[in-house]
Order: sequence, then structure tokens, then C-alpha cells
Amino acid sequence: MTKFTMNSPEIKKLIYSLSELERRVLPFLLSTTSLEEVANNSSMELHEVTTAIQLLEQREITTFIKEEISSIELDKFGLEYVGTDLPEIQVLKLLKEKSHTMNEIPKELVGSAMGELKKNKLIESVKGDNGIMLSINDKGLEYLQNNSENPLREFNEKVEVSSLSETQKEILLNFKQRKGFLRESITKVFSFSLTDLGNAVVNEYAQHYKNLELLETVDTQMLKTKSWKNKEFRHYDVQVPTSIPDIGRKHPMLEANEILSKVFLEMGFKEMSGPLVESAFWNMDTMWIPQDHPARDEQDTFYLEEECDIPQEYFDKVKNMHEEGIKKSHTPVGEFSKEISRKQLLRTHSTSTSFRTLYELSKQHKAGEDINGKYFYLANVFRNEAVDATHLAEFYQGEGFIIGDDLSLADLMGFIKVYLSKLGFENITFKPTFNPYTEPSMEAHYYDPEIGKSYALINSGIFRSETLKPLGLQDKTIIAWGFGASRLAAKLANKESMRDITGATCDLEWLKSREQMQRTIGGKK
Amino acid sequence: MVYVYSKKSQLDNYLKEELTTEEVKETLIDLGMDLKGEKELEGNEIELKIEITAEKMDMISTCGIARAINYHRGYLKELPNYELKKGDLEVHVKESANKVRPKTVAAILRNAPMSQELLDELIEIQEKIHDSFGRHRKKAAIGIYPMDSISFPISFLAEKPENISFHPLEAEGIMNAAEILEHHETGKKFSHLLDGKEVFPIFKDAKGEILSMPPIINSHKTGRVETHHKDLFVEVSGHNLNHLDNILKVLITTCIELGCEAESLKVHYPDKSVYELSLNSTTDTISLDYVNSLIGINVSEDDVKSLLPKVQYGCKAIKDGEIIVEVPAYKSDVFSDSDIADDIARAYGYNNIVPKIPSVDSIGEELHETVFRNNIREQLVSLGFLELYTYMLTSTNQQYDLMNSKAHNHVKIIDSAEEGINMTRTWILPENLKSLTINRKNKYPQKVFECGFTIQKDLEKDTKARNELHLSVSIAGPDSNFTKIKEVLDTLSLLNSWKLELEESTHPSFIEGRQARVMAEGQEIGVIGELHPRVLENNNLIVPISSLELNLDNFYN
Repeated sequence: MTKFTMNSPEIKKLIYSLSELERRVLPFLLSTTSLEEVANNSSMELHEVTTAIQLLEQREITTFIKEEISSIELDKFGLEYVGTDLPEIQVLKLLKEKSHTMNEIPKELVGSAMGELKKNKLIESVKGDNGIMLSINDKGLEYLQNNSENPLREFNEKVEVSSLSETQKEILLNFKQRKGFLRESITKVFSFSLTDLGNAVVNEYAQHYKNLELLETVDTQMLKTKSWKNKEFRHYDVQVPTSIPDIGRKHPMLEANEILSKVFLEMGFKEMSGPLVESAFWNMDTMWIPQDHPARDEQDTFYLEEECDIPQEYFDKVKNMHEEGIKKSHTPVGEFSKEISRKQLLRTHSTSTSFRTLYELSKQHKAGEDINGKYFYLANVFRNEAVDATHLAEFYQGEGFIIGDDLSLADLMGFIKVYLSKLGFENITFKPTFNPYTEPSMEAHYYDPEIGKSYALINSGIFRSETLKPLGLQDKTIIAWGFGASRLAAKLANKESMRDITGATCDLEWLKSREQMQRTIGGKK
Repeated sequence: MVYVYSKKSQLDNYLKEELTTEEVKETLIDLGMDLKGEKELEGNEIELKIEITAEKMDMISTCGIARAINYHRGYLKELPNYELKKGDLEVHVKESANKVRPKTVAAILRNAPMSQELLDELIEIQEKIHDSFGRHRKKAAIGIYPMDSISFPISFLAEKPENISFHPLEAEGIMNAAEILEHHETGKKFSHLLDGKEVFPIFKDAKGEILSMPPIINSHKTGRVETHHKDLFVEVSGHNLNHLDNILKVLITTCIELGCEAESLKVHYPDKSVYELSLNSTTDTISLDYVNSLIGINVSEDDVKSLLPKVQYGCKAIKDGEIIVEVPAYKSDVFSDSDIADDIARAYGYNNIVPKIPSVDSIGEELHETVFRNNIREQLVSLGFLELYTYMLTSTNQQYDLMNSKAHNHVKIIDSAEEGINMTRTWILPENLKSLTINRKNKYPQKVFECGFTIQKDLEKDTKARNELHLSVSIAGPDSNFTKIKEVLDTLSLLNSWKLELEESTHPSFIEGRQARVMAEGQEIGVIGELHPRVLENNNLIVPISSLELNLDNFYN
């Protein structure tokens, strides 16, 4: 309705945006609804006219009308018998001459005639020596007389259902039960009409723009010959939506890792890296996790088939700490087993790499070097779990530690607050917890205003003396933490489930068109 | 984590002051525990689901939780003084027990104010300890017997299974050891703890009656506790005396708080040593400076004096910054000084600690490997490729069968909880094909890549495997062909100054004559080509795909 009241300048704008094809067809649209007529009048091809009308429809200048018309026409048998007589008439004519056995009637007639003949009781059949003998009866003779006209001829030409005559309707009814004589066919007919806007446009065009010539694309020839001078270009609809081109994008999980890693780097951390396949020694024993600890169960850990090598001297010290502890509360499982230590597994956390790093640092420490520093790692880890929305068998963990001389729980809190704040997580509270290898151990909780609940984002602590003594690092304090990077990545990508953003099931269209990941959660700050 | 399900009314009963559920939750969180849920029971009763961390054995019962809250909120200040009558009954541990379950500790409860409620609570504590500190009865198992049915001295010994037969609890009649492990419900559940042992442990009384076969089941005749039993014999059997002692202390102190009287007895070991329960608190010394510096607070001696009771320690003395701490018998998680320091921090309140920025100087440094990997990723993104992140856990079907190739050396996974996983990936391409299969309804062309780790078996390494950084690139779509993928390889070579050579190859995943081995300095580092129609068919794909996979290790090391 708005366009209906368009004034001249707006109509002009519209006309300037029409393509050459649309402009060509425009003068011929008045006082007809037939595409063919337009084609004839304009000397355009029918398909050109159709395309033009469809384009104009998008501009609400025309309405394209598709109609389905059903007609009755001769079918397979109809075509066969329309030139002669109906099969039953042909048989009756034969029998009128003389009686015949069934075999003497032409096969092609029998099938379509006998039903009619029997139904109307027009013939007699008697079993004889040479098979069934057929003869015409009185009723048959009368029928022959009354049906001299072949009714199919009424349908020599296709007849639209809407214009069937009474006779034709009756014939149609008679043949309803007889397959293959008459059939209904549907034809699609296209036409169009002009909208009110269309009428206005066509009139305006006829009055002012009949000789309008608009250039399409800028090309080399045009520039060389300067043919563009004093001419106008067709106007585009600048609001037409486009599709996304085939662009490359990073994967959100790894993009999130880059963000998490960048924050560490800004805070002066060094990146670590370590083996995905580990020994139980580096994965658990070095952390003073008892050899019978439930977390070591096969339900949680992917154990593999080889036996790993482990450094003997360090092993002895770790073994001694497992067996003796520091104070009497310690209750060892029994003899510390090297066999268990040597088990090969897929690392269940990246702390294995932190301890490899500490092992290297301990050598430098022994050599009198300054080993104070900050380390981080974003690492794939594995858990032998069935996969669901909150549990993945393989995911990214963020891990880090600071080694120094007088670090404290307050320092750990300070680090965590700054780190999380850089990602947009404010209002962090701390809760004591328990980890086998840190004491104090602490969770950092974030209150998520969106779900009105708080949850733990980071698990952290100060490495126990029991883990540092075997390394000869008992004079140092190490504050350490770990977090589920995959979960943070899902959060940064505004997805509920980690599974939505990882693995082979990720939707390529989403990967392409997803919003740019912000460095802070929810894009805040 | 252990969950204790406490009735609110029962908790209220133990608490010295009335608290709302919200206040209970707050205190639990300050203590490092949590209230995980509430459930309404019949008769206006509310059940609280309380999460206890794995080291706090003394909080494994409603009574223990109430005790911790009472101290933390300052309702209790003095450590309890548990009365333990010295008894003269005896348990004899025989040499034979050494072969299977060498240790036991025991004590006696008298005049228990027995009711169904108390009995239920006892069984609840027993089961909770079995499942956590008892490591499902392997490390420790608890047995409770009515004094009326047994006669002292008791023996703890081991016998050949064929010589053990008695009427176990929850059974129709007498069974032998083998039958118990094979047919009895509890026997079947714990049979793995005795399977294959030459001898099985048993408790026997003076009349030769079998009391129980730990850690499996008690005797119906001598080990069945009912509400009319006031006097009980309690034993804990297992492997480490210290551990068993900790468990017995938690059990007996809790029972005393529930109104029982306790009596010790003597457990004689074959090496002449004697175990006898003591409920006296012990002492430990810790320096105030250490506490202040580890936690990052600045509390005075007086402050510490008032903080210690909040976390169930006594303060014997403080002198020259040395604190002599009294540790109650039931506290079993003091492994080193940091445990006491942490408890003081909990008393102080974690959220009262003022965070500060760690003052450790260091210069940030990204790994060479990461810088390199990120460069490659940027280059592929700029070439219009979508980055994929697929899993390292996969199957021989995906890695070999669907790729029309044969298995070679890889790291095998045997017991995966997720069906179908039986190896770690040796190359990335098959995983990316899986992604293309899943996305086959999306529009083409699909141009994807992944730059990530694979795991290669490597017996030279200490862990017998190594990480190997790979790049996999695929172009799927009607116009995909060898030239298209080679353009990518050539562009990467140009941008990164790689000197690569292509040699004709016969990799079964690719079409012969349209594939090549990628060589760098005479070493094979990858493959490039048009995927074989059979591979496409195997993966339910109906468009041509050309791919490359490179081992990038040599380019950044």
C-alpha cells in the first residue's frame, strides 16, 4: 500500500533501477494479461517476457499468475477407437453377421468389449464343442441401432472441465469405470496482472522515459572510448541482501585458545608443551597421587599397552615420599610399585607437563640458577568417559603455575582475579577444596548473572611439600591452577555445550557465519 | 567427593544453635564443602545432599558435619575429651593373616542408646567409609558384631577357602567360602578382592565360631546387629595399621558423640606388637610466620589462638612464633604443615584474604611451535579455508578401513567407555573426511583444514610415543582436482620457503596417477592427491575431494 501512493520521484527511482529487459517489456503491459500477447507485441521471446514479468513482480509492479486448468482428453484406448467404433460395437457388428466362438473374436477387442456386453446382457454365450459360442440377442440388436454414433468423438478436441456440455458430462460418467478411454489432464497457464503501482509506473514510463537509456557495467571498452560520457547508469537496489562468500575462518575452540593464551602472554607467562602419551609416573606419581587413588581407575584413564621409561633417581625419591610421607597421618597403600609407575596412558591432565617443566627447572635450581618464573599450557587431555553435553573424552585444559620464593594463597587469588577479569569474568569468590597435590586448594567461583547461579571456573592451589621435596624444590613456593578451556571456549562462543564447538560434528555453515569471538565473555568491556 | 545425605531435623538436633538451610550452606562453603541439593521427604522432613571433599573422613556423617559447623561458628571452642575405658579383652592376629589381609584394629562400644535410627546411621557411616577411605573395602573394611553372640578372645587368621563355611547374613543357611563368592549377592560383588588368594581371612571367636569373612560378609549367627544389642564389637581390617587406626578413631569418636561408651581392647600381633586404640589428641608444631607467608595474611598469636578452634584444633601454647597445635583423634588429614595452615585459612575465611598480584618477574614467551602453527593457520584461513578441530581419539575403521588402507603402527586403545574408539589418530585427513560427511547437506565447495597433533608410536621415546604436528587440507566440490590442492601446497611452500619435491606414489587412499609423495630434503613428509572414488564411497560422499596431509615437525624444530 505504501508504494501505491508513491510520488513521481520515487517512481523515477524505481524506473532507474529496472534492468534493460524489464524496461523493454514495460510499454506492452497495459490492457493484457497474456504473456504471449506481450511477446508478440514486443517482438521478445516468451521466456524473456516471463523472466521480465517475474523480475517486475519482485518490485511489486506485476503479479505473476499461475493457473492450473484441468481438461478431459482422449486416453490410450480413446485414441485407438475414436476413428472406428467402440470395441463392444465392433463385436456386436461381427455377431450380427453370424455367431462366433470366443476364439474367433480378435483378441484386442475381447478385453475391452466383453465386460460391457455382459453387463448390458447384449449377447448369449453357449458352451459348445469348439469352446464358447457367442451370438447377439435382441437387446444387442437394439443397442446397435441406438448407438450408431461413437461418443468418443465428442472429445476429439480437449475440453476444459469447466466448459463440459451436458452430453459430454454424461459420456464422461459412462466411461468413468472404463480405464484408458478418457483422462483428465492438468495444464499450467501463466498470466499476469499489473498492480496499482504497476499501472502508475507504466504510465509514468510511457510519458517520460520512453527513450531512457541506462548503462549497465563499467567496462574497459567504455572507458577507452569514453562512451559513458553524458550517459546514466542503471541504479541498483542497494538494500538487496547478499549471500556469504566462501571465506576462511579459524575454529572457535582454537580461537578461544589464542585468547586464553594471549592473556597469559600479556601477564608475562612462558608457554610449555609436553607429550600427549604419558606414563602414570608423570601423570600421577610425581603429584603424590596415591597409587590406589580412585581417579587412576580405568573408568577415568585410557591406559595403553607399552611400558614407559622413567628417570630412576627421581623415581626413587618419589617412591620414598609415597611410602613415608612427611607426617604420621600419611597412610601409604603398601609398597610403591614401579610397574604401576611405568604404565603408559593418555594424559588425563596437563599437570604432567607442569611436572616435567619443574623437573627441568630443578636441574637448573641445583646448578644455582634463578628459576623463578611463570608458565602456562593450553593442552589436549583425555578422559575415558562416554561423551555427552558436559563430558568429552578429549578436551582442552588450561594450566599454569608461578614458581617463586614467597608466594602465597593471596598471590594465587590475585593472579586468578586478574586473569579472569581480562576475560570479562568479574565478582569472583574463592572456596576451599581438596586436591591430592595442592594444599591449600581453592576453587574460583563465578556468579553467572545470566543463569543466576555460580559455578567453579578454576581449580587451583599451592603444590604440596610432598610433591616438591622429591624435586629438591622445597625451598620454593609454587602456586598452580587448571581450568577447562573447552568449557570457557563454549562460553566465549555463546554455546551451551562443549560438544557444539568441537569434533567432526561441527556445522560448517556455523563455522563460517558465527559471530566474531570476543575476548571477554558476552563481549562485555 | 563423597555425598552425605542428612536429615535436616537430625542435623538441627546435633547443632548447638538453630540454623537456616542457607546458613548451613554458607558455613559448609567456608569449610570447603557444599550443599548440593535439598529434597522434601515425608512428614515435613528435608534431606540435605552435602558434598564432602575426599580427605575429610571426620565429616563423613551427619554427626561429623554438625561438629564441624558447631566449631566453625564458634558454638564449640574446647576440643572434646573422649572417655575410653581400658578393657582387658583380646584379639589375636595369626601369622596366616599376613598372606592376605595382615592388619586389624578393634574396640568395644558399651551401652549404646540403640534405636533403628542409630543403627541406620552406623550402617551409613560404615558404607560411606567402605566406598571412600576403604577403597571399596580393598584398603579397609569395617565389621560390627553384638557382644552377646561372641566369646573372647577373638582370632584374626586366614584359612584355605575349602575349610571356611558358615551361615552368612542375607542367606538361607550354611555356605562355604567358594559358594559365598559365587552365589551370595554381596559375595559376588566383592569376590574380586579374594579371587585367586590361597587363603581367605576370617574372624573366629573363642568357641571356634566364624564371625565374618572380611572384607565380604558377617555371619548370620554371630555378626548380626539388631536394635536390642547394646554392646558391640567393632573391628576394621585391611593393610595399613595407621589407616585402620584413623578409621576406627572416626568411628568410635562419632559413636561416643551419639551416646555410646567406649572400651579399648588389645590386638596382639604375631611379632609381639600390640595395638590398642587411643582417643587422645596429638600435638604438632607449626610456625606462625610459615602460616602468614603461605596464606598471605598477617595474623597475630592471639588471632591464631581464636582461629584454631574454628577448624577443630586446640592451641596448647604459642611461644616465639611457634604454635603447638593440638590435633583431635578423629582428624586424619594432617600430612604436612600446609594442611594446618590451610585449616587456619579456612577459619580466617578465604574471602577475607586480600588478593595481591604475584611479584615474580618474568618475560612472556610463546613456543616456537605455536608461533609456527598459528602462521600456517592464518595462511590457510587467508586462502579461504575453514579450520576444523576434530578428535585424536578415533577408530581403525575411520583411520584405515574407510581410507581403503591397511593398519600400520599406531597407539592402541583397549577399554574405551565411548563405543568405537580403539586408537589415537596417526593422520588427520580421515577425521576431516568424517566432518565433510556430516556436512554433506551443506553447500559446496567446502574447503577445510586442520593443523594439529597426531600421535605416533615411537619406542625410542620415554613414553613410547610422540606428538607429531600435522596439516591436513581438503577441497570438496564439483571443481575439486589435483591442481586445486597443489596450488595450496605450492602457495604454502612459497610463503614458508619450504623446498618440497613431489614424487609419484601409490597411496591406496588416492587415485593412481593423480597423487604424489611429498618430499623434503629426501625425507617423505606427506601425501597429496585426488581421493579415490572408493574412499569417497566408503565415507558416503558424492563429490570429488582433493587433499593433502603433511607432517610439519621438521619445519619448526
